Amino acid sequence: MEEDLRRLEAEATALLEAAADLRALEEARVKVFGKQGLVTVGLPQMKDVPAQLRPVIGKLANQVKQSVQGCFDARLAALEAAGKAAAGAARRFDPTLPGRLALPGRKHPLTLIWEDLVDIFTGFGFSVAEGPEVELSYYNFTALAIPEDHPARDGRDSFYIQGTTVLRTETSAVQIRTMETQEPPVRIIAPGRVYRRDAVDATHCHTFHQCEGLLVDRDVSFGDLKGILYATAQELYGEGAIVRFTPDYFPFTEPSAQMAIWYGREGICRDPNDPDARWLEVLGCGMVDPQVLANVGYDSETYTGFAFGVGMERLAMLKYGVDDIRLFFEGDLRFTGQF
Amino acid sequence: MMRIPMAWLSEYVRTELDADQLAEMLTDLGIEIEEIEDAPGGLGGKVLVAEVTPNRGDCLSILGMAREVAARTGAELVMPDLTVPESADERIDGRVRVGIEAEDLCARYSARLVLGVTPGPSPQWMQDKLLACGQRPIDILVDVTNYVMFELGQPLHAFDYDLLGPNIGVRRAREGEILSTLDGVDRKLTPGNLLITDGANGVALAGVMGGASTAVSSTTRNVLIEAAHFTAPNIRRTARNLGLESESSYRFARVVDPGGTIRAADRCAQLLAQCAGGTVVTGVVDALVRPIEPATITLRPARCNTFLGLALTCDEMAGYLRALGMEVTIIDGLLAVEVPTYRPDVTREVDLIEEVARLHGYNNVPMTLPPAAQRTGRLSRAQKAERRIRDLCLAAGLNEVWTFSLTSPQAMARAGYNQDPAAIGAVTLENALSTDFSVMRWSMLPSMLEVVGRNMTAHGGEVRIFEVGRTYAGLDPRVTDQTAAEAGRIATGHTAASLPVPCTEERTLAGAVTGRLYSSAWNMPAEQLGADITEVKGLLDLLCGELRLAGVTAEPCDDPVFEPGRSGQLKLAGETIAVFGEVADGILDAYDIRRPVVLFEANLGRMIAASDLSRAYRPLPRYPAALRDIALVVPDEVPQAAVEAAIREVADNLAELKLFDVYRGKGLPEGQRSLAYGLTFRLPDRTLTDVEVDAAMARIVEHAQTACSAVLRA
Repeated sequence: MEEDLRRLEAEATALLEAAADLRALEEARVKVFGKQGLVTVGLPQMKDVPAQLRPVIGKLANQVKQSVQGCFDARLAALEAAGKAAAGAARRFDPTLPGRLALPGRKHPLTLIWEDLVDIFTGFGFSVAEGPEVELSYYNFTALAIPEDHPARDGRDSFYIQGTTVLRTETSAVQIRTMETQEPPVRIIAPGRVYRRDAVDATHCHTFHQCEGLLVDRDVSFGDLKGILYATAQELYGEGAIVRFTPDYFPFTEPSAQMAIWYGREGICRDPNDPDARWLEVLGCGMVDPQVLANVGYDSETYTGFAFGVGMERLAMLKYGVDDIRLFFEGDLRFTGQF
Repeated sequence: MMRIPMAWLSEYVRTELDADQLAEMLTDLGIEIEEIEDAPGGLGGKVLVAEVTPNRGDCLSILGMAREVAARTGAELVMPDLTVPESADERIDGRVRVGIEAEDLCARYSARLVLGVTPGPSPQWMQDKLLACGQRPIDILVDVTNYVMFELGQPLHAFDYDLLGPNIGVRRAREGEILSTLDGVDRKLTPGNLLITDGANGVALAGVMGGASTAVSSTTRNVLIEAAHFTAPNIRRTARNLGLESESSYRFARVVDPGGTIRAADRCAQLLAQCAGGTVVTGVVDALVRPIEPATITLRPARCNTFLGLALTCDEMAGYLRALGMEVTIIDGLLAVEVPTYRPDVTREVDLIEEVARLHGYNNVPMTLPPAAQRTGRLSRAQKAERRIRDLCLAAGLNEVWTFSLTSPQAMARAGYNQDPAAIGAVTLENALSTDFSVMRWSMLPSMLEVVGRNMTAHGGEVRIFEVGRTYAGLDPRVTDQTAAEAGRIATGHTAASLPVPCTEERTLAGAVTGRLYSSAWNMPAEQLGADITEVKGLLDLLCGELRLAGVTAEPCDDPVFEPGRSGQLKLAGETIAVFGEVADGILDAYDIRRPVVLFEANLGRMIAASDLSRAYRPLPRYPAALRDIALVVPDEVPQAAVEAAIREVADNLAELKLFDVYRGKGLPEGQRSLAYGLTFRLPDRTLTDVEVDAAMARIVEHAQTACSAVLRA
């Protein structure tokens, strides 16, 4: 009887193991566990077993039953896994295929510079002011202490509309509009579009952009101007950017200065001893001429201030290494897509 | 541009510095050295090429440069020998009479007379120096005037005394008066031009160019040397207007030392005697409109230190100023500074402060930060809105471009904007540099088409662009400087918005799309990839939604840039705030664009003015919604908005409405279309019953029929 059971176990196991796929396994299951199946009919009825053998045979019959069931479960799991693997191979994702993405829009490099400046200067407590591009010469020249006969006023350098209306030649006009409508202290930057009567080439353009800065308060010094512009250069061009200040001349600042940056073959240079580097002018600045403060009704003994004006194309050209100003205005997406 | 031969410079100041060091030092003093060259000819050494700022006329001479070097290095300034070997027998009295009529344009006229000169080439040493300064040597009589000009900064003119005669007048030219200048050109003058006369007729264009009739030549024997002081603006204008910019006018335009005329005349006479064998007549004629005296300015050391952020002593400040040749007396802690006449740019205390800073060295001023701000820096509401709008355009996959505001009426007309510029108050330049850039754009759409065209030509790829810029119109000729001067005093309490502006500059958004939204969309059908008019409308809807514009309506648009029947406009309170549509075929042809382009332009100024950027939380729904779909068949001429409005009018508890299909064709009568909507009903405080929702749906069907002839689709 014991041998019968062992044989039964071996036969059933062999049947199940032989199933090569899920369908064959199902057929084998019927042969093993079906109504006429090996296990169903092959296991002895306990009533037919002599009483003294019942504990032994009963235990053995249970073991066989469990063993065959275990074999079936394992086979089923194996075949299911194999099926999944086969199906998966067909729908496997190739991670080297290019992805699909809604093409992102890109900011213009001058917007990046604009936002850099706004971020830096709002951090210093400056608000962002704006003014008209079609401007009165009163704001563009007269109130900035630019004399009637100054070459900048000449029709060769500036675009005139009619009579005293011009396309603004610098964003400094916004200084006057701000100071005429606001008591000190004043802290503004004024980024915007300006115009000069220049023919277009790689470094000149009739249209370009400036960012004006103006701070008027008690006890503002030339050292403060240097400090804030130095900090700006570090923020814009990275720590270690080297700048220098030299005297310059503008009718509406005194003392006037220009800031230059140390520039090498690879762009902004952090090595003061680099033999290939040279100074490139970045911006003009100075202490607001007391006459300009007086022109807008400020007490120039109590208040002092500084102003600067920086060409935004210039900043972008130095930062990104752009060598032709025209690229900023042509809208070629192969250019703007690089930023 | 001023050329400084180092060999010549070293005659007036001794320095151990090499060319590079000297260049760096001068640049640090504000005299920017742009180039260093080898001196041509026999002079040897280097030549520094300096860019001199317009306020520093005193640096347009070798001596002036030497003065700066001496001031910084402490070396002694060696003046040239100015002694004149005057003739004991010949006196100038009665031989030269000067009458200055135009006293506002000529402050001083000094003259010397040299007799018996021998014209011919100037000595080699003089020629070498002139060449190094960029001046071609001509003849001793001319060269010597140039030499002294480069050396001392005073432009001179040499007349042939025998042709000139004893009388010299200085007056404005008469209207239409003709002067034949040295270069053989007959110049027609105006009262804006200053003329030197022989008492009657013009003999030289003051400070700019001599006349042919009195020019020195190989036959000249007796020379009158003119050393005068002319007003800068007048000389600058004359030189510019006549296209006669010269070393002389360049210097006069930047103010020369009014106290230096005699010194220059003396030096010139001395050199003529030495190099051309002349006899110098004793005495100088010096016509002076008013006495020329050094100005005295008070410098408050405390003010100077506060202004610069320095802590210099009185003596240090005095030291710097004295090094520049100024006389300084310290009285009660204040500096009384006498400014020499060669520094006419220094007239106020703040000018002295600049001189102190310059000599101390800008780079030696410690860097500090200004006093802390009393409030945060901020963007205006409009600037914040503009940032948001830019971000949304970028998120929609549009690339930002910046295009010129300057364009031409022809370029505007190319896109169908053929209005008469004057009629709409367009900003037209009086002195345009070229016809391509003669007017300020009143729409940005032409620029968008140009950019699309350029990109098509350049790479033919996707072009999805936008620009946030300005458009310009409504020029008001009544707004003038006079208006500004009257408006603008802080005491009147104006706001920035109320100061006069000459024209309306509208914040504008424009864009163009053509091509695909996706990169590498290898598993999407091609028809889902392209940009179309609905995408652009969607962007505009998004912007209106983000700005919380209430009551925006849409209707067709007849802007000529668009294909008829393929465009639209958005209106707010009766005003157009945006237009969009497919570009008309004819206009695409004009830009040589071979595929469909959708354009849009929005008046950001108006949109932002009406916007609400504030945000407040609304509780999330707590009860489930009832969802229903409805398809209504309406005649084609009924706009979708009318159907939507009809639904909203009667649909109680409608939380959301979404159009999900538009169908036209089989199963529907000709000229009709079906609009299918998904409706979401919800109450905040309980669940709606089916009965309630069914009733709402029935009302919708009924009302849609009356309001817009809609029939429930079977």
